[in-house]
Amino acid sequence: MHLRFRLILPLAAVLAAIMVYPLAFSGWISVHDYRLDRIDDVAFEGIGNYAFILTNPPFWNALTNTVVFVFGAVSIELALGLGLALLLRRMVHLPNTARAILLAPMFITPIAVGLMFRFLLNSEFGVIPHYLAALGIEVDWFGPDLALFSLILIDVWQWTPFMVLMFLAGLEALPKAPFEAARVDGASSWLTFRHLTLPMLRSVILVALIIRALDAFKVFEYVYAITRGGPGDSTETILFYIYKTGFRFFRLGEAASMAFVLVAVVLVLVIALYVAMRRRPGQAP
Amino acid sequence: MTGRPLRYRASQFAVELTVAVAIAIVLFPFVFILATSLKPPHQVAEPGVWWFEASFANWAAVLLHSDVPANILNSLIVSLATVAIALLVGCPAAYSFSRFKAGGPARFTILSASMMPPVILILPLFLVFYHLGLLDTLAGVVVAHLTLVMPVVTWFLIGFFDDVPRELEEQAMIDGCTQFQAFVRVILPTVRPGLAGAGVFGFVLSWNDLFYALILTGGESRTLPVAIAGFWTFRGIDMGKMAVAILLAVVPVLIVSFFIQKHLIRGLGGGAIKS
Amino acid sequence: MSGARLKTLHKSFGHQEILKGIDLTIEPGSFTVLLGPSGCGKSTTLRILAGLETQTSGEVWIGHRDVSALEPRERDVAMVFQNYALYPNMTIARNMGFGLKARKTPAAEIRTRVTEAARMLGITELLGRYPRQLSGGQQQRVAIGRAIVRQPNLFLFDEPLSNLDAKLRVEMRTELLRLHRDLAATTIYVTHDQEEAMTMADRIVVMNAGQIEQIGRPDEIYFAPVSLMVAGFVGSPAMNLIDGRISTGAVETAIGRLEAKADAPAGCGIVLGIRPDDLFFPDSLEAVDQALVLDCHVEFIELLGARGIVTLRNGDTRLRGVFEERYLGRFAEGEQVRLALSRHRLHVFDRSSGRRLALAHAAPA
Repeated sequence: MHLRFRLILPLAAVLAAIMVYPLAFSGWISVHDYRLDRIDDVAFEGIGNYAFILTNPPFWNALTNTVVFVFGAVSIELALGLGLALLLRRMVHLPNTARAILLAPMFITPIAVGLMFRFLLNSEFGVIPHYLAALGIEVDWFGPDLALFSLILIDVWQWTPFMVLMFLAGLEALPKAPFEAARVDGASSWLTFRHLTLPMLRSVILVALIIRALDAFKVFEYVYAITRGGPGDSTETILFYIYKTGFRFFRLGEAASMAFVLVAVVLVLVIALYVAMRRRPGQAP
Repeated sequence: MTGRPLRYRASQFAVELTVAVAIAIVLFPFVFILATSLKPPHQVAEPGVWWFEASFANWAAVLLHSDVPANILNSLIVSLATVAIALLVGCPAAYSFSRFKAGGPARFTILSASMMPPVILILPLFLVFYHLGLLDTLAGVVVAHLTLVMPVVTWFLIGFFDDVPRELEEQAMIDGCTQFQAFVRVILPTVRPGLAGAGVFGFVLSWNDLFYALILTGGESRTLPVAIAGFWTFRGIDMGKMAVAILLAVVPVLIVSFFIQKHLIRGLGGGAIKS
Repeated sequence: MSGARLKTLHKSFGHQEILKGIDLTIEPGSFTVLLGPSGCGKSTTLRILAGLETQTSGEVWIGHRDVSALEPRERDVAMVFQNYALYPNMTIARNMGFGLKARKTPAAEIRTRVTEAARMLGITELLGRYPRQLSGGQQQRVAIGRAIVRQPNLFLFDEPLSNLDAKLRVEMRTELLRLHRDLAATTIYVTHDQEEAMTMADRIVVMNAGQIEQIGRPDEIYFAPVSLMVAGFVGSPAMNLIDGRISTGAVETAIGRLEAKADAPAGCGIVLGIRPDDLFFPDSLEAVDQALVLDCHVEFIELLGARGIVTLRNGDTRLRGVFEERYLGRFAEGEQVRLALSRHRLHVFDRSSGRRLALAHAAPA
């Protein structure tokens, strides 16, 4: 066998066992009425599960919440991340230390972040409401109106650093000459940013956006740590809803079919990501 | 004459001030959690209190009289085993994808796999582990974490191998190596920093995972994130001890992360960014 | 030292035919340069010789061995790459000894040979360092040293000097020639730099579009190019090329009528080639040798030091000439000057095939 296949063989075997097989199994579950509490009585459902979830309001609610979460979080992170990356590059004092600290949140286990903010924002003994109250501002961060927004803010705290990281690298890789030419031409910094930085950074921005969106779609820990989907179902995200359906209500068939809908969304984003990465100028296809 | 430097200095000051504010926002939760972990129990629920008699009661309770040390050990075993297997299996494959033609579909497969939502895999893994008796075992968590870590590590490594000039292994082959020897003796040592970066990133992924561990572990095999989640349940909350556990989970990861930030840029970009 | 042979070598990547039948014999101890524009197949030829690429068909022989199917490591060749390809994780000494180590040479012998090669190249003090601590020129020396240490059947060089600055390039050229003389090693050297080829080669192989255009000594390539491609590619400034046509007993061109018989039917389109060095003042050329006298308008003069390039115009035809400093005083920008062509220094090519046409001059009147 050619060396290239021998090198791939272990990975292919492991991935087949732990990913391809489970994926197929999952597909099989999704077309059956598979319940964890009635494991000996599994009936074929065909597209029954899919038909059910697509007309099931809680599923759509979870999907809507997730989409709002993804759009909200990722767009704020993009703006803040780009801004911070540009500022960091203009730092004179301790730029490396500043960078290291600003990047820190993305390495922390999300459950810890969730619990930290649940504690910090708690309306009874949280430190932030405590000081806001001193300013005369009384808000219930995890009340029905704000809960999803609060989760978005937590995501922004943890994942803006990822954007900063990507943009720092992207800015670093830009050629110097066009910017020097712009300075010689007397272009203002806004003009330079708008017509040089932004267009040249476009593919990096796209890649960062998609990676972050893919990740945000899988939000689970904050919901699990803080709201458990509540109040009501205002923060029920797709992953949390699937988890609940499968491992609280034991309706695996339904959960699997929802998971496949999620995979379809993810796959579309992955294709977009792959194309975005390939389209980089100056790189051979 | 003095106008421009002054304006320049003012804008520079604004830059540094903004970054300082961002740093404060990043650091504040850590500082507060650290303070909470040191507060005596009766003051934990008083957010306005910053001056207090430091007490190590929470630290002692967590480190000496709880399961947290066992949870840390579990997390450590799982993460190290996961990373070791992922590197061992992913490394040769990544090299092959990087070097030989038709790497396109392979790259796409790896990228898709690394983005696969865990929820699609957890249902069958749960059922299979149930039949194999792997529920509530560290081995089961390792297998689950491999689905998370292996594609990502492989994806990282493809990028690092892409950066190694082809002439290097050609030179080694002319010098008397087989292609496999060239890979082991010349290419692998060259990408050692990349290997370390990918390994640490994989470690962090596994160390931080809650979703798989929550569903697959019960008593004995609980990992640290699951244990942390257990500090605040419907039954009750113990803020001081939770603060300690959070710090124990966070600090080691923060320390190693400082060393891999550079490699992370290249790895995450996966060819989108040339560093 | 052994020679090498390529027999009807073909190479295709997909539908693209890179090599279209290369036949080449390389004498033991010779310094052969493969010269051609980028994409002509010279690097592919070298890589097939090294075993880094597999030929689509044809044979590769090194010495008396058919190595067509052998791996690079079994061919006993050494190669120097354009980007040097030093192992970044090894010291210079280990870099140079790696090939011997891979072949299980005793450590003591590796040390002797590395020390000797380092001494020859003047890099002894670098042996303990790492590649990243070296300048480009030093890395280049190490790469060459690594090849020398191996004492291989063939030395292969793939554009080794093109990453160096101009001054260093000239220095290394001399250095390489000196090494070649000392070691008498069979060397095959790929470059697109015709000056490099002219100064270094025993024999130049000019390649174009996957085929060998001409094989010959540097002077043959320069003074008797077999085709328009070779004529245009070799020489700097490039040869002046002037369109013309064969008539009965003469060659008609834009700059005048040559009383000469070309080996082609009347009416055939030709290109007349004149090297910039081959424009003369009539008084420095014997009358019998004068093929044509040209009255030119001097457009401008570029002084290069001991020589200068003069741009001239005859009618609508622009010509470039190279003259030594002592002749330059005879030119003045904007003035007329009379020049002559030597009948021994004219090149005539068939315009459609690009092949060289033999020229027989009519007896001088």
